[in-house]
Amino acid sequence: MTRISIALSAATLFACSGSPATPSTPAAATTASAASAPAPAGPNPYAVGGEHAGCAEAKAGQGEHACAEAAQKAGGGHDCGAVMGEPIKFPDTAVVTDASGAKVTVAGAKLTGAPLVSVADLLAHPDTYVGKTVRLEGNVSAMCGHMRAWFAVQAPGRSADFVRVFSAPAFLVPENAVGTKARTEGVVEVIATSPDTARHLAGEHELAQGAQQKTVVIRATGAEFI
Amino acid sequence: MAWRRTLLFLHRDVGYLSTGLVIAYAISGFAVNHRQDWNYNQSRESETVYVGKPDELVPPGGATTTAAVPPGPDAQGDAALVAAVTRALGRPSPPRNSFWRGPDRLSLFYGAGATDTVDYHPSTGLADLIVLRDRTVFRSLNFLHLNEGRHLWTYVADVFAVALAFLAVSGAVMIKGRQGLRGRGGVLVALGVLVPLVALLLLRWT
Repeated sequence: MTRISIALSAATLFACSGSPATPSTPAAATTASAASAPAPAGPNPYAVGGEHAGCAEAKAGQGEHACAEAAQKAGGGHDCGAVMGEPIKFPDTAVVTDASGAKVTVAGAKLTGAPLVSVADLLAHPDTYVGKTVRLEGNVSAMCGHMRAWFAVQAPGRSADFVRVFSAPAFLVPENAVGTKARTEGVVEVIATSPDTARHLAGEHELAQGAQQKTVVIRATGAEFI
Repeated sequence: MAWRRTLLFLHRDVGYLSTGLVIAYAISGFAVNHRQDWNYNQSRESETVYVGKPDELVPPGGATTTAAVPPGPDAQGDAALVAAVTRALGRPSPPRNSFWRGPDRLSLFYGAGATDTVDYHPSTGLADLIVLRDRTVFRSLNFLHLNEGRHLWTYVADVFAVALAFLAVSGAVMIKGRQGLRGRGGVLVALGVLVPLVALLLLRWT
C-alpha cells in the first residue's frame, strides 16, 4: 500500500517541478544604439493615474506572486509570462563595490553608456524613444516577486508615475530590489495593457496605471541595483 | 517472475531515496498552488500608527513638506520630513532609502528590500509599518522546488524527476493479478490518467 501511495504521489508531483531559469552564462555587453533626440514639451499621454487607484483589491498578506497567472490571463507574451517561455540569458547576479564604496548588484549585460532619459520624458514623449536604447535611473518601487521578470522605476517627486522595466529574458531582478536605486539600459517599447494586467499591477503591486490602454516599458539588457 | 521481484526492490529503494524530496516538493507544491491567495515566501505584518502631519512633525520655521505642495523634487523638505518621521517612530537610524510613491505616500526603507518599510501619508499623518519575513520552511522548500539555486540542483532535480517517473511506472506494473494492472490497479491508473486529461479538456483545450 505504501508503495502504491508513493507511486501516486510521484505521478502527481512530477508535473509540478520546473525551472524558469537556465544555467549561467558569462555576462557580455550588447550592442546599443544611441537615442539622442531631445524630448519636446507637451502633455503626458502615458502618465499613470492617481495613487492607490486599485488598492481596494489588494489583500493583506498577499504578495506579488500572482504575476505569472495574471500575465497568462492577459494573453502572455509580455509581463512575467516572458520568463516562462524563453531561457534567461544571464540568470546570475554579481555584487561589486563601486567607486563611492557602495555595494552594487549587477544583473544582465554590462551597461554601455546609452543616453540617459527620465521617467517623465519617457512617459511624455514615448514616440521619440520607441525602438531606441536608453538608460533609465531611479528608485525601484515594485518588482515581480514570483518570476522576478520586471521591476518598476519610480519618477522622482510626488507623482505616481513609473516605467516598468522587463528584465526577462535578459536577466532576473535580484531579490529585495524594491527600495534600491537602479540604473538600467534597454529598448523602449509601447505595449498594450489588458484590464487584467492593469488590475494585477494596481492590486498586487500598488502600481496604478490609470485608464491607459498602452504603457511605456523598457526591455532591459542589463541593470545595476544600489 | 524475477523481474517483478527486482522491480519491487528497485521501487522500494528508489521510494526510500525519494521520500525527502517527495515531501519537500509536496509541501512547496501546495504552497505555490495557492499563490493567488497568499505570499508563499514571506509573511506580512502591518500596523498603522499616527505619527503626525508634516506641520506637526517639522518644527516651525524649518523645511516643511505638506500635501498641498505640488508634485516635484523637494529634496530639502523631504529630508526634513524623513528625519522627523524616523524620530517620531523611534527608529535609531535613518532609512536606507526613501522616496515618494505617489502624492500621499512617502516610503521609507529600513531593511533589505521592502522587508522593513514605512509608508507615511502626509494628508492623515498616519504611517503604515510593514514588515515582511521569510517563511523559513516554505521559503527553503520553494527554493528547491522552484530551482532557484540552479546549477547543480538542476541536475539533482532532473534525477528526481526521472525517479518519480520510475516510481509511477514501476508501481503500476509490479503487482500482478486482480490487484494489478489487469484489475483494480488498471482502473486506478486509468482514473489517475483521466483526471489531468479531463482538466486539460475543460480548462485548456476548449
